[in-house]
Amino acid sequence: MEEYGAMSHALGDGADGSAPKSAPSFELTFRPSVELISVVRRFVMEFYQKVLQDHDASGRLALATHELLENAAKYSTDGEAMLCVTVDRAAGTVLVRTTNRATPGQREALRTCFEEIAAAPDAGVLYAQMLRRSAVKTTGSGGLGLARIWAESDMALNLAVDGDTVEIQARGPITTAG
Amino acid sequence: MSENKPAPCAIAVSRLASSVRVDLRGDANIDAVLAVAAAFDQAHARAISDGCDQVVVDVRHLEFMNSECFKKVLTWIGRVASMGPPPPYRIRFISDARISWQKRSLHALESFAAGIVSVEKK
Repeated sequence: MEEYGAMSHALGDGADGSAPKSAPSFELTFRPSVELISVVRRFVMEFYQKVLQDHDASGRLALATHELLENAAKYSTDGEAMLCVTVDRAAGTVLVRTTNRATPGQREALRTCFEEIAAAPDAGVLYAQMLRRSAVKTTGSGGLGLARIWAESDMALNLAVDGDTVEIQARGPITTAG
Repeated sequence: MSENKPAPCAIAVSRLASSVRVDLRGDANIDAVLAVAAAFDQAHARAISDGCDQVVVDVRHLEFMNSECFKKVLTWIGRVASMGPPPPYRIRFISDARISWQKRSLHALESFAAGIVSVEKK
């Protein structure tokens, strides 16, 4: 398995995204239609609101979830995508993972995006660069969505490629209720 | 589950005094990208042809905007910027401070295009 990415936070759990069994979590495997992604975003936001203490954090995580799911749906070669959300209260982190199968060209495009993320000094610098690029480009998003997750959701991003399967992980700090 | 279904994106472009007004509502997801781009094109054309000094974009009822729609906002800003300085008109967003994505994404736009974009929080 190849891995690419940049971690912006010191995190307390394993690189495999594992968390204690008591951690609030859910996993969905589905054929994401556009409508279903928005429904899932709302569901996820409500889930976060139950588990987290602040509304703003729930919104940030909902944005990350929506962007990752749209990405997975757009590039899935078999129409399926998996979403996994895990809250680790002990470590104070939330992990959002999406998995889908992708073509060689799409895997290469993702590698290029993640190399750019890894080379950036911080989320703000990359996001500013992406905003400038997007303002002059008329087509293609060129990684704007990933830069937006990193900067606006305050979540570190990682890409893992295993055969034709790609997994994108977004992980960030949270404050949990209870 | 049907109660949890977000409303599709609804867009209206109109004239109001010396401004052009763009109202965006619902969920600006991947299905809305072309309509969002067309609305900004229309607002731009009307602002230029009518000599308006600003375009007001009301997003208070816009639950979410994905990155592809957000990219269309950036392309529009780039187009306005390329006609200046000074820009032919300014873009003012009216936002709802309770909606998380609006706080962050619109703040990013305001920082990126300070002379063109302003954000009013309601």
